[in-house]
Amino acid sequence: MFVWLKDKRRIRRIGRWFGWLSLALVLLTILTGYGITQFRVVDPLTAGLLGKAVSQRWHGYVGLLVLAALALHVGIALWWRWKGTRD
Amino acid sequence: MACAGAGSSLSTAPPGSVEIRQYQGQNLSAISDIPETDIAGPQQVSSGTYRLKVSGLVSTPLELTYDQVLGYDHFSKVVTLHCVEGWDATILWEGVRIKDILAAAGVRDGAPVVIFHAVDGYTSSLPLAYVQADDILLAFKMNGLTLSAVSGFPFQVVAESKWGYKWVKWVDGIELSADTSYRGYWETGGYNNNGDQSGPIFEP
Repeated sequence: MFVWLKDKRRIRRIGRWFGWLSLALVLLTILTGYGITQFRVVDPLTAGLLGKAVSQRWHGYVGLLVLAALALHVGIALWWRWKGTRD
Repeated sequence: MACAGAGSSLSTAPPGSVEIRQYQGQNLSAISDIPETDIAGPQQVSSGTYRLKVSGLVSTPLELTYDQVLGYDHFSKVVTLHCVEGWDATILWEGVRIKDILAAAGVRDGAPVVIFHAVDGYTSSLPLAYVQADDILLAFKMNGLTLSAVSGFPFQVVAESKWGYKWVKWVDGIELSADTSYRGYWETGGYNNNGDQSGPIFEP
């Protein structure tokens, strides 16, 4: 695994994936948020997958995942920029 | 109601036709500040045709008119409603004690659960011991005003110290049951059947 990561461009690519993952998680955070307060819309819209209780459970977890993914995305991007000034 | 309360002791309610915003030195929330979070929106109930059915494990099943329910002794208390969504509202509730209605029906042995049925199909349950010991009210007024359709006219359970989903609105049935595993509408969806504000929101 570490050999695979020796290619710096791969690390940069992973950083971009974390960016897209952050975006997806932000959308999920918004959806689960609406799932709590607008359950009459979101519950049928998601075929019952995001009921009020499920939305409320997920809402807390997803928020933490957003922060983690965003931190990795920004962290890798900053590392790439810092590396670019040194190489 | 998809949304526990800290309550004050029972007292006689002040009469009035304007919304009370302060009671015995305590600031009250505005009724209009309470979000509508019901499973099927506000229900229109006519006091003329309304009947409160008391059924299940009771000696004498009852079917009470709106006026007959109002015929029980009135009590009031300030209780804060806490919704699982995060908001809360401190309201002066006026109603009749559920235990007085149950006493009239005669609760038979082996009925530890009180199931509340609402006009819109919503249900939730409370322990009989809690309903009796805590003088739980079936409210018909909030902040001195008769409940509106949005607020749960004709009656709403004031389940103090329980999350809001235990505060059933538009109550049209009270059923005494032996089924301790009974789960109401939101409890079936994953919210804690206990409903204690001091406990976890979700079932373990």
